[in-house]
Amino acid sequence: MKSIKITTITEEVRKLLIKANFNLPEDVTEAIRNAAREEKSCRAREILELILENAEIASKQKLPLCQDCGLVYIDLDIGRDICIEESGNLSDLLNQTVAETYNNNYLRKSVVSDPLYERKNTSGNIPAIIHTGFTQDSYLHLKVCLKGGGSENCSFLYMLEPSASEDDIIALILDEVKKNVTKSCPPVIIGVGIGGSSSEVTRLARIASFRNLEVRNSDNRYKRLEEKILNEVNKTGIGPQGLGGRTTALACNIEHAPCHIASLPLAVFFGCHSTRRADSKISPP
Amino acid sequence: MMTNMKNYTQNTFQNKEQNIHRLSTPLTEEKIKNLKAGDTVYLSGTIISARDAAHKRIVESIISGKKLPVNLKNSTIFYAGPSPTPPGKKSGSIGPTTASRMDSLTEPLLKEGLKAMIGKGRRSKEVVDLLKKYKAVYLVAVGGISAYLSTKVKSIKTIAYDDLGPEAIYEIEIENFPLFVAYDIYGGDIFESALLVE
Repeated sequence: MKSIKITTITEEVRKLLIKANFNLPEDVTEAIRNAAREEKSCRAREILELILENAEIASKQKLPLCQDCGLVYIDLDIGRDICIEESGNLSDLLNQTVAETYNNNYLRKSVVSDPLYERKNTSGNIPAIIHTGFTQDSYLHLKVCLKGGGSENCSFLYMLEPSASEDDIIALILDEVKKNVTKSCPPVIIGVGIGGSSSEVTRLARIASFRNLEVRNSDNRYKRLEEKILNEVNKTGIGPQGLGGRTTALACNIEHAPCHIASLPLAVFFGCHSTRRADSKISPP
Repeated sequence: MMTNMKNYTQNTFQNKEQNIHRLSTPLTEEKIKNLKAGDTVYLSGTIISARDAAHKRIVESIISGKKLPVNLKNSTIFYAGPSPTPPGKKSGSIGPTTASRMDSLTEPLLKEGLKAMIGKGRRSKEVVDLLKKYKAVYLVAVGGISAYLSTKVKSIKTIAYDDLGPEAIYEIEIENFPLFVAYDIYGGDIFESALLVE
């Protein structure tokens, strides 16, 4: 057994939260830069350039990229034979770290305690949504994702019939894009989950929407579907912020999984252009 | 190649047609009657923020006849919940939230004299009609560029509903705050006209 101290993990979470709030990931910056070069509409180009300028101001002045500092997701992919020391209250300690980091760095606290009745702000942007998983790697892979409310509200789930085709999926996604995408701060990253179950497919869509933009699905059929969806979405002309242009989406990322003989679950997560994520690999000493 | 050329010409033309207005609050009917969907506005002066929870309270107060904590006559409401202001800065990051969540709560505020709303994204057909009826405009700010937009803020402070945290009502002094006219008082809609370009 190789151990990693819980304090090593919480310290790393603190650093990742700060990095994600103040710095646009390099792959997203590059995608926006490329889109700005290819845009024909002046207004769309102007908006894309403002997004790049915003990223510079945010990292230089330590101001959050977006006032909505998101709901925090923390994923811990625990490698082979790795044990977390003093992990009795792992989620309490992670939440304590989130609250301290949000309060000490002037980040917006956007979580309410009770969803239906009191809706009272918890004042620490907690609880975070924490997932643990196990891998065959020699390290612990720590991932932090921040999800804003505007784009989150445009997520959707369909339980399709197994006879549904690729074209049915493209049509459904296009329909949702036309109805809702202007509310999710386009250019968006379309995260698509296909397969699994109703609960698993939404997790897949979330993971897809936060996947590095340079990574494509390893199955050529799904890779081609990613390209088809992106192409169709960008043909709508909706553009950055819905104000016209070619760049409605920066990417479409699909994650797929086996599913029940009776089902074909489909979930879509719209990620806003202010995609905030950071990760780090912690090896035991 | 031909198609590309055609699009480019149309776009250049369309962008030339776009008017730029430099306006100061309070926005009155006189000031907003020249605004057309698609125009650019650089807005200066005092505006207030109010989003979901504040709207709920304002509407409850209007219905029960209670005095409102803010005067809505000729007011501009920014659908926003800013991040806290760090020491030495004039404002934390600030930007628009999705306007459509306020659609069902908009008419009572328009009746009180609300003249302009700032948010992001499309709204319902009902809101487009209400803006014609009450002669008010919906402006959009670019979402997710909140560090940049904070540089257009001269001061910010809470003036009501402090207990709501980021959802409180803030009074915000802005200078040359960049906006686009999304819906004008004539039923014009930037989201529809933008689609016709490409």
